[in-house]
Amino acid sequence: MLQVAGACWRPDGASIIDGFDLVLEHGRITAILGPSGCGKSSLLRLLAGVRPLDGGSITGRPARVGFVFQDPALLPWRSVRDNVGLPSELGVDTEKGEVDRAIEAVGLSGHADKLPAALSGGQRMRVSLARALVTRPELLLLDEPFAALDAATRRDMQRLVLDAHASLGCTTVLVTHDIADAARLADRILRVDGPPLRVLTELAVTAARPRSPDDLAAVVRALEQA
Amino acid sequence: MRRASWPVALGSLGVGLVGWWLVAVRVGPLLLPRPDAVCLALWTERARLASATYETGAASLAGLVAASFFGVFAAALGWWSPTARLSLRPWTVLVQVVPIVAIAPMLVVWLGYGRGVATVTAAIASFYPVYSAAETGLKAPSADLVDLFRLYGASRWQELVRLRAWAALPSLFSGLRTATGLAVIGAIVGEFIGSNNAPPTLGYTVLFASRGARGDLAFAAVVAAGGLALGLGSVIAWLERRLIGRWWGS
Repeated sequence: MLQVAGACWRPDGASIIDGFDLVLEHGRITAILGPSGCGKSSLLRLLAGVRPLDGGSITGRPARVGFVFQDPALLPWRSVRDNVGLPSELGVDTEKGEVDRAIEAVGLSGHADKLPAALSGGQRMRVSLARALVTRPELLLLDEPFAALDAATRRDMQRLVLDAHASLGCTTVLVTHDIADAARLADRILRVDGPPLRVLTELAVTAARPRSPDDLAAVVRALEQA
Repeated sequence: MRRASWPVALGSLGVGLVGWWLVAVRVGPLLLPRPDAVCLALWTERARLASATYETGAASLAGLVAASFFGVFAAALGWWSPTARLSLRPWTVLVQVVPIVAIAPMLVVWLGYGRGVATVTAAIASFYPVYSAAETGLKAPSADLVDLFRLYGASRWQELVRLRAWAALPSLFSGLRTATGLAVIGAIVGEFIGSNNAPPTLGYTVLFASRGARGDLAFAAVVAAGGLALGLGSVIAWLERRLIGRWWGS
C-alpha cells in the first residue's frame, strides 16, 4: 500500500500541494480527475519520487516505478529499441529480452530500429508506454497519456494500458481531465481541484472492464451527482 | 535556400554587381576596382590567393576547433557546478568584449609572426557564440525528460552524456554557424598584425594590396575570404544535416 500523508510541495513559494493525504491500494487503477493546473501532475511526480517533498511523507513506494508523460518524452536521437532500453542503460535491472518483449507488447516489433521522427504520434506514445513497462513496474504512473491522441488511437492505448495493468498486477495511477477516460479505466476515481490540490469527491467503480456505454454513463452520472 | 528563391537571389546579386560597376567607373580604380578587374585579379593571382586562403582557412579552422573545445567544456563545467559557472562568467564576458585588434600586438610578442596569432584571434572571436549556444543547449531537455532520468536513478554524468550533450547539439550547431564567420574574421584581423608574406595570408594580402593601390587584389582577397567562410559554413551545415537532420525526419 502506498500512503501519502500531509504531502506539501511549494515550488518558489507557490502552494501547489499542501497537506494532501492519499492511500493507494495495491493492484488497483486510481484516476485523479481534475482541471489543468490544479496540481495533479505535480502529485504524480511526488509519487514517482522525482521531486522532493516540502513536507509530509510518502511511504510504501515500490522500487520499480514506470511513468508515461503526456508528451511521449522520447530521445529523438535514439531508435525505438534504444529508447525502450534506456532504463536498463541507466542501471535499472531488467530481464534479458525484456526490451523486445515490451516493444512487442505495444505492437511495434516492426518499428524497433526506427527513430521517433519516423513514427506517428500514437506510435510514439506506445514507445513511451513500452519504456515504462520494460522495468516491470509495481507502480505505473500515467500523466494524461491519451490527451493528444485521436479517438481510435486513444482506445488502442487504453487497451494496452489495461493489458499491462492486468499482466503486471501493478498499482496504476491515471491523471486525466477527461471524465470518459477515468470512467473507462479506473476502479476508483478522485475528483480534485486546486491549487492547492484537494479531493472534492471520491467514487468506487465496481463495473467490470471493458465497460459498456451504459456502465460509462452510470459512472459519469454518479460523478456528477457526488 | 529553396529552389524558387534562386532567381530572386541571383537577381539581387546581379543588381548589386551592376551598381558596383557603375560606382567603380565613376570613382576610378584607386578608390573602387571594377568587378571585372576583381575577377581578373582572382584569376591572375590565383596561386597566391589559393595559398593565402589555405593559410587563413587553417588558422580559422584551428581557432574554431579550439573555441568549440573550450566553449563546450566551459558550458559543461558551468552546468555541472554553479560555482564554476559564476567563476567563468567574468572570463566569458571578457573574451566576448576584448578588442582583438588591441590584443593582437601582444600575441605577436608572445607567439611571434605566423599562424599562431591568427589561430588565437580566430579562437577568441568565435568562442562566445559556441559557449553561449552550448550553455543554452545543455538546458534544452524538457522537464519531463529530466524527470525521466531522475526516475531511473541516472547520475549527473549519465544525465550529461546521455541526455544534455545530445539535446545541446541543435543549439550548438546554430552557434557554430555564427562562430564560423567570426573565426574567419578573427583570423584575418590577427593576420593584419601577426603575419607576413611567408606564407601569404588573406589578411596580409588585403593589407599589402591596399597599401600598394591594388584595390583589385584586395577585393579578390575579400572575395576569397567570403568563399572561405561560406565553405566552412557549408561543412558545418552538412555535418548538422548528417548528425541531427534525421531526428526530425528531414
